[in-house]
Amino acid sequence: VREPDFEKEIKLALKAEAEQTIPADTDLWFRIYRQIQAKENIAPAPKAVPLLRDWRKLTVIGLSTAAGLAMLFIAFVVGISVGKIQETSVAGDISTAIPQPSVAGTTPDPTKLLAPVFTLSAHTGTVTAIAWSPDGTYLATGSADKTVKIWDSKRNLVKTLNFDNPVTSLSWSSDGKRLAIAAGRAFTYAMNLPGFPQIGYLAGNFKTVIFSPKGNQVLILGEGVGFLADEVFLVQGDFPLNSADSNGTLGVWSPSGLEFATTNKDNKAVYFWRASDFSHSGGVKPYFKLNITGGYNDIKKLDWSPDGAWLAVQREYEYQGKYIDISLWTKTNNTIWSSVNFELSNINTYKYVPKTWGSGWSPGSKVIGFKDDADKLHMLEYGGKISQVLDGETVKGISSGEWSPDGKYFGAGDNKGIVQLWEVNSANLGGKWEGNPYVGHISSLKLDPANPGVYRGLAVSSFGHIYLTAQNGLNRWIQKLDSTGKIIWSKSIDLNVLDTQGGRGGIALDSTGNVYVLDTLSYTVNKFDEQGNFLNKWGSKGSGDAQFENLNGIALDAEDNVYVLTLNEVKKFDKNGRFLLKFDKKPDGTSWFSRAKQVVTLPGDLVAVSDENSNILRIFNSLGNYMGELSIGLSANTLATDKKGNLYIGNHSQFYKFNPYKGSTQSNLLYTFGNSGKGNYQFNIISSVIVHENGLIYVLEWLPASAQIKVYYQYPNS
Amino acid sequence: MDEKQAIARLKKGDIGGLELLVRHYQVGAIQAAYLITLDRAIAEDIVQSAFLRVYEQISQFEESKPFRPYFNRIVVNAALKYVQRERKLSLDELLENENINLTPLNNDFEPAEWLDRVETRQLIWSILSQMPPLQRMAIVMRYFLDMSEAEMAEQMQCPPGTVKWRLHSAKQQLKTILSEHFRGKETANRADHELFKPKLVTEGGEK
Repeated sequence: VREPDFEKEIKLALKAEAEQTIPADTDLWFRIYRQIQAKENIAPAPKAVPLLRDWRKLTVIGLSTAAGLAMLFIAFVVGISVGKIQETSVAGDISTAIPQPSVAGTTPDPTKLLAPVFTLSAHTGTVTAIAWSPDGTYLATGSADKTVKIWDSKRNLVKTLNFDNPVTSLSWSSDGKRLAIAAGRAFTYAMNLPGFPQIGYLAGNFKTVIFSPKGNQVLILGEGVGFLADEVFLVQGDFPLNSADSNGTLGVWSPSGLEFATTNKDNKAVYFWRASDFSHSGGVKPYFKLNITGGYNDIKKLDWSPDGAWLAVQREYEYQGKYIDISLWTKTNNTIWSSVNFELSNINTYKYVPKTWGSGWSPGSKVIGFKDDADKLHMLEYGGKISQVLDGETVKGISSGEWSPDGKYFGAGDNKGIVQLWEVNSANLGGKWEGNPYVGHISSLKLDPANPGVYRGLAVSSFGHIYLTAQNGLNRWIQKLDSTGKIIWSKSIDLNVLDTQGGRGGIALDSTGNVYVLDTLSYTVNKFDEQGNFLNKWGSKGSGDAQFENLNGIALDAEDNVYVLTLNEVKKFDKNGRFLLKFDKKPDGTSWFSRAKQVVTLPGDLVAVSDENSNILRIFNSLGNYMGELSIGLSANTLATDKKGNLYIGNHSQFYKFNPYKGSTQSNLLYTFGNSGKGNYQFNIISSVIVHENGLIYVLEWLPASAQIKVYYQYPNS
Repeated sequence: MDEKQAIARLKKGDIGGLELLVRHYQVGAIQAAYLITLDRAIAEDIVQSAFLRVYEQISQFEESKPFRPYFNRIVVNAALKYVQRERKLSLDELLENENINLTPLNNDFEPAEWLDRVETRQLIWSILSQMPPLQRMAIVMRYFLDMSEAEMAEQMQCPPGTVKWRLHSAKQQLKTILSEHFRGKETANRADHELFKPKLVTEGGEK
């Protein structure tokens, strides 16, 4: 007998038996952590969100009733803190290259306006619109004096645009390259070209122009008319309502750009439209009509929350005085909106005359200014708290206002053509309005404390619905939550959702809201609808095309193709489970991956894969061709991306953001924060990270019995 | 973050360091424990307990040393202790058992006849699984954990010669039984050999 061969056979026999009985995705970590937690009696994370105190005060003084849902919502929209960002290039190991950031000290709190720090003698008539370019480079002001003026961040007048009619609306494209203006007719200008040439023009009498979040469409509204057009106003579709109703002049896009909402002619109803319906001409119908009940109601403003979950409708009505309220509406399924009402103001004390100029949703928070009969400026938070009342010469005649994108300035225009720039809460924010990057904590959503489990999978829909996979012993379930953390439904499933290697925990959504969940016991991909109803599944154990030896991660691309990651290959399927292709081996036949960990799809038809045994991300195109690699200096346990392709990694108790892959192996660490603990900027083992379309960051901490999702705003938002 | 950094973090009380160690070493450790105990649930319990011990005693660990041997020692020893307790055998009894079925090497045996057979590895495992735990542990340490004989001697707290002898006797036993098995298949008169009762042979070995 040749001894080496014999020993080899023993080795192979041991290996085969070990791997057959103990698969590579076996994971004891949660058991171990639970035991440590029990031994050390680690207390659950604190439940109270400081801002809830404000809401409780409101109930004490007898304001309108509000459900717990609204309470959570207040916490969601109002809470903000700021983390200072470190920026540096990565070389070598990341944990030594990056200093721990500070997460305190420069909070722009929109509830605390200090004083106007700059005054621009901008116009000769009432200022009707103020809009910052998304990156803070320019400020555009529009006026009844029929001009739009463009200012740089040193308050120099850069350009004056003249029109035949008063200016009523301004809107920047999300990339800052285009500015749309309504001044009777509608116009677009190329703000990235010398002299800002006009590139779009549409005749008519329009009041409102709004760029879509994706920047490729403009919503144009006038009395009785509405158009959706591209940036040079090639109309993609008009949407005249039926003969019994017609368009109003208010509108708003959902943050995802998938939908928009418009008012009707008497501002008593809201229509919802899907942008995809405008890909063909004619016959476009709204998919839902929302009647705002009450004979005295008059819709004054529509706002869509940054996570896409809530449409806020501001109403004005008269009953022994003028009052306003805000009703919140959310999608209960793909086609139905329903209300969650709570009133905004203390109607017995304050009689506001809303001017309907507000900030939109100020970054990570929400404050709206209203003028009262005495011309005082009241700053109101959603939920009814009066954060500030400003009086005196500086606030008289204010007629329009807007927050800078970084949340550090509030621009207010008055009826004499003056624009004041108010600095927010701290005099040391600097004299410019282009802000430094920061991250602000918005809320912490505690997950079903009555039913503790190990939460692994996280996905967030375009409309703010949160999907989770969880497991507690043999009990396994999928949950759908609204953006306040309230459970919409929870369904037991017969899938093993725990053993996937972290990251998204084997859950992903397609563009229509269907949910895909990996099952590591049956080696299948399982598809559910948005109500949790099982649709179909595919896969089995094996090495065939539609088979898996193990399951690690799942991601969908813009066409809803499904990428399934195993330890050493990526398999691509269409949304119905038809196998398309796989990428696993280099041209020399060796594997790309030694222990693949996470997969995400990136803009530009790219796919990124992390590997437990390496500090790089491998980049492929959607055909499986290897494009290159990005050195990030750490092995990514979790991996997420945003609309620009920035990469976000949550490892243990730290959070990292890297620049997109641009063909170079060198990565740039944009910021990092976090350490071990229970604070707003601390983490107890990150198990999943998702970045929403408008840059909101969702971080799932799995810690049993106190699992929670922390939500952050970031500036810039991608 | 590499292993040393993970340990440094763990020493500072950051449990994130432990997670990295768990994620990196758990599967191999559970597999090793299973190969000794033959029970997946027990193997997982052992590894879980071993990591808890790491968590509690990490301050005593010298960072300059590699983690894997340190951890394997905990796991293998715990697995062996379990098996000994479970089977209610003393160490002496186990050592006595190591000599059973020891027969001279059969030089007529031709490995080429069986090495390519699909069920061979299952057969080898079925034999290994019936060996006395201490003997099987030696095989696992040498051929699964890739430990050197010197490392094994240190861990088993016995002279290197003893390790060598244990390995040799285990292999010898394996070869003998395999050769008897295949000869037995030819003559169809060894099917009731005690060591060939395991299901893997009766299910897959006989045609």
